[in-house]
Amino acid sequence: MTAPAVLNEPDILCTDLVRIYRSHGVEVQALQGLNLRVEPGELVAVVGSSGSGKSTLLTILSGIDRPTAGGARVAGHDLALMGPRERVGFQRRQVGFVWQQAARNLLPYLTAAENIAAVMAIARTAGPRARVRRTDEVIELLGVGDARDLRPVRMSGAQQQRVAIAVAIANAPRVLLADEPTGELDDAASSDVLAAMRTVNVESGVTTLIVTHDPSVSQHVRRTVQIRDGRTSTEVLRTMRVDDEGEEHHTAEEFAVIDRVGRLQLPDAYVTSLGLRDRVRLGLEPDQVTVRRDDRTHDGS
Amino acid sequence: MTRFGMIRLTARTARTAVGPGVFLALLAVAAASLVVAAPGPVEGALTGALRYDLTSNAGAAERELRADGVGVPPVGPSTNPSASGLTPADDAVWGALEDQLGELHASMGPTLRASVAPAQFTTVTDAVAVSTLPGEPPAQVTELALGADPRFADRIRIDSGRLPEPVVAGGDVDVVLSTACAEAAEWHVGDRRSLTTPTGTRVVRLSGTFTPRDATDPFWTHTSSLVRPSVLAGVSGSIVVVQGYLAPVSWPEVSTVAAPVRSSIWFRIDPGVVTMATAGALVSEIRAFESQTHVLGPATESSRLEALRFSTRAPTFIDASVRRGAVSLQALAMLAAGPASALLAALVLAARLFARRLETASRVMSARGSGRLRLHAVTAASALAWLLPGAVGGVLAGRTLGGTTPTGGTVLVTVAITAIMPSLVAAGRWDGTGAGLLRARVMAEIGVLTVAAAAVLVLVRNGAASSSGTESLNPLLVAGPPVVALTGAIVALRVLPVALRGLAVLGRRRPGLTTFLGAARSSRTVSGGAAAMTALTLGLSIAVFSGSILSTLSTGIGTSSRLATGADLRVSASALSDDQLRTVAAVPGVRRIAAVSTDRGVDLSVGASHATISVLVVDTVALNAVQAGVPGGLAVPASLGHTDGGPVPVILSRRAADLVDGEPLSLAGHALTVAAVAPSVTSLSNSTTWLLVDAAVAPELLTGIPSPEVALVRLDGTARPDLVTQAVRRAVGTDPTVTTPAELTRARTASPALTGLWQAAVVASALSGICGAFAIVMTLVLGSGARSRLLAVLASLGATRRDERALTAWEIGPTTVAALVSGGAVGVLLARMIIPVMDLRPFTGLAGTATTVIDVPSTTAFAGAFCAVVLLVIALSIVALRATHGRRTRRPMAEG
Repeated sequence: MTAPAVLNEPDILCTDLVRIYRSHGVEVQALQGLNLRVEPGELVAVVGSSGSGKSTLLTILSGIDRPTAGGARVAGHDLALMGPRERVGFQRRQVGFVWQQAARNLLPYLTAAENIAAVMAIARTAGPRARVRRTDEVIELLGVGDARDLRPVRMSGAQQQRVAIAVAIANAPRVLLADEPTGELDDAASSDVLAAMRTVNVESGVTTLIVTHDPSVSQHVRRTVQIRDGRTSTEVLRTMRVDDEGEEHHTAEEFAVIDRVGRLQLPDAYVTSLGLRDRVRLGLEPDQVTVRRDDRTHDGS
Repeated sequence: MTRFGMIRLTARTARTAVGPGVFLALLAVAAASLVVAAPGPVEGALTGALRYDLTSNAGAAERELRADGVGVPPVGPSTNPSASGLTPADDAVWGALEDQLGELHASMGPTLRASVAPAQFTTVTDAVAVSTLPGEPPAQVTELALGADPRFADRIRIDSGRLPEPVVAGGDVDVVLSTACAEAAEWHVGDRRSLTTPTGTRVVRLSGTFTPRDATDPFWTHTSSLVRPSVLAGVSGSIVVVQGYLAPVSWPEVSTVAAPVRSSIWFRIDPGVVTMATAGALVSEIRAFESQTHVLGPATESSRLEALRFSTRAPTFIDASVRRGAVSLQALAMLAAGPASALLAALVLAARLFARRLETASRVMSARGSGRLRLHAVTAASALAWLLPGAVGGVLAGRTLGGTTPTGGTVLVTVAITAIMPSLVAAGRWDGTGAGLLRARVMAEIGVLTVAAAAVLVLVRNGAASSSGTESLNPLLVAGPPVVALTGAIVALRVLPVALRGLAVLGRRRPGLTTFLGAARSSRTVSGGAAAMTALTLGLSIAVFSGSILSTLSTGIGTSSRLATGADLRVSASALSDDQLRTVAAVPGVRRIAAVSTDRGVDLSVGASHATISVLVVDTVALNAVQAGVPGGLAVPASLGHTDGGPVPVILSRRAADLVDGEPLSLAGHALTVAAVAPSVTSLSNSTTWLLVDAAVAPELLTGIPSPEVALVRLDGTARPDLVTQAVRRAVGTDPTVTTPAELTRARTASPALTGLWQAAVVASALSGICGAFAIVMTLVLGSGARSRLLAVLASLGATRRDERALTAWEIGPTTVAALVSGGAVGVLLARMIIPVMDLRPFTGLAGTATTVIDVPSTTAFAGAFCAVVLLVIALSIVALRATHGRRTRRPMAEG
């Protein structure tokens, strides 16, 4: 078993995370030294296009897959060294999952309340009475009282995902992982589900990581991490300020992510706009680093 | 809300796979009911065969436990006259005997006691001359035996006159005679005759004549001259011997004047009570009863019956039948291997299907932290929730169908095989990794091949244990066929992918897609059809093997019947008169007859010592003519009829030859020379230690030649044997037995043991076919997911419905064809290997091993019926699945 989390340790910490698959003899580098740090109680979205490695990241963070190299710690557990028994305990008590498809989240033959109670029964985290109590709590928290006795097939898409969130947090995990939780929903339902996740994050303080290809998710979370080619490339931080007249002002700032050895990815737009390729010129200023096109390269010499 | 725990979660999980669950439960019902019910009909068939053998092979007298003695049985009242069922007057005389016979019955072992009827007896004086009284006209010379029986009045119907009156001291003795006897003795009702005995003379009066109420009652076989008179050749004409009945109460007085008295007591074994399960105990108890000397009451001067020893031939027949039963059981166990394996394969596949249905739920539970062990437990418990009720229902159904109550052990084993094993298979689906499965497969194959090789080696080297007279199974013979068939399936599973890859290479050169794609896909998924392959291979091999066993048995019985008859037709009796032989020879269609006399107990000089032997006397020229071309014919050397003044040529039976061991032989002072040695068992005589001489030289060797006991008949080539047989029967009357090979074969094949085997072979083939077909269909269902995905892609690329159907056929076609080919080959191999070491002698009656016969028509019929059942069930299932699939696709919303 991994040692208990040290004080001030982040709930999710990925350090130079590498995952290489071998599929039909072809090597695929899904993660190429990804770094990510999520503090306790944070709500973070990881956004990336298809094939960027975000789903691979989530399967590693959920303990289903193992990294090829690098480190990954979630809720104090080193995922690279975790044994089968520890993994079972980790999945039962430390993390909760919400996947894109309802079939992966909910047992189709159980009602919402039964699904919630079932994960507590599986994890043995509470006695029968406590289970009933906890079921009521999470149903109220997610606002799915009207779906309580419905089976998934009778629920709307948003209800299914809200119930899935309820199931995921039933055992009061430290970390909630969501993989495209709004992938099959329309805009209204997506907002509804993301609002529910934000509520859960605020109310229960669970560290939440949402992986999605939908850039609009960033509007609902404070921190959005862009992942590209298996690495974190940029981050968007949203801040809200209330002025003296009581009005809210939302600000979104985009940052490039630099790793331990100083590597960073320039946004595509920048690269395209300046026609950067092959080699660039770097300049060190007192308070900044400049990146300039190498005209010789550009001239083709 | 109600509390929700693991038990409810498991129960709800089990309910999600209703279709596969119901199918699993039905299979469990079928398997459990078959396991539990099978022993009942099998025991019933074996018992039926035993009773058939006892009834048809053994005469009524041979089934009786009988003792004969000289002397008068005890006379006196019974200890409880009211319970004897006799009148008080009769009880005063016969009651003591009845009591002692009851005690004799009570002294038997429990099985024997339950299998025999109450004792019956006859007590009769020797026949003594009766003559007409002085002054009356002379009548037929007659000897009269007097008997008494307290229940005789119940057995007869008075034709004229009345029942005899009790004898008044010194007065006339009333008797009744059968009407036939009275007519032969020219004795009329009311006529009196004088009976002269060593102790004095009594006057006997015929009070009435009778006929038996039931002439077929075996009781009458114990009486001589009672129903029909015996006629002896006397010096001055024939002497009629008759037996009459006295009034039962007159016996004490009459028995003292007409000595000696002979008594017979017998217990009739009721074949309807004997069962195969109690046969062993019955034989033991009979042997124990036979080995004891029984004394009836305190011997006194006046009533002195020698110590009695009972004997019967029933154990011989029971033992023979039990041996046949053992062979039947062995064959049935081998036949059962087919459907049993197919059922097991179907259960395994159904369990996998069930587990497949739970995969989604299992994935969710696994992601929520359900450990591997708990996932196993939930899957196993879910499967068990369907299987256990099915197994219990099957046990109860089997109990009702089979009519037997299974033991606790049987129930446990049945539930373990039909419920627990498939549950574990369903749960174990999650264990296998690629390399692990491969290792397990190789290990299992090596294990099966090793066991098969060992079984074959032991069987070929040692042969099967000869029938031991018990019902015990030879485990090697039972396990051998399925293990060898399994080997065939393993080889086919290894060879098939290679062949399919070859086909794929060929298909690549052809313009169409299906041959290449179908062969390529099949070559990669052959191992997925292992269960179906095994089930079909086992099923068909057992079907072919069944056909071979049955054709071997039929041929063997036909051969033994021809050997036992020894001619086109055989007539046998205790004595065949010259008249009878002449009549037989004169029957149209009879070309020639050879009559064989047997002189038993002849003293043969063997070197310096003597041996007792039977001498068969026959016209050897006639015998050669009659037996020409007949299987087992004696082929008598031509020299046998000529002595030329030298030693008399004879043929010795093998047993006799072993007895004399090459010593010089002589008979009645004539030196003998052995011209040939023949098998001991022949159709000429029931004796096995014999020498045969030609009729021409026999008068020199024997003081008198007995009447022939056997006549062998050669029919004209154009004569119809059935018509000639009927004509011969009419000619010789009812006493001689007339047999033909065809009749003997019919009688032997009518045995319930053989008909039961036929039925079992048919049922086993049909069940194997159905289960094997289900296994194929389930393989198809298990592959439906991958197939749907492929077909969707192909459809978008322009594949037609015909291509789709062809690809579906490629999934099961190669496995089915390979299984049928390997099954047929293994079936023939099994027949060649196992049948020669099976002891079929109790069935065929042949001295040696029956030649293995793979009768093409019957074997093809079995194999063809099996294939037809398989194809029919596959076709029906595919139609049903399509209908179900069609309904599913029209559902507006997919579940889950």
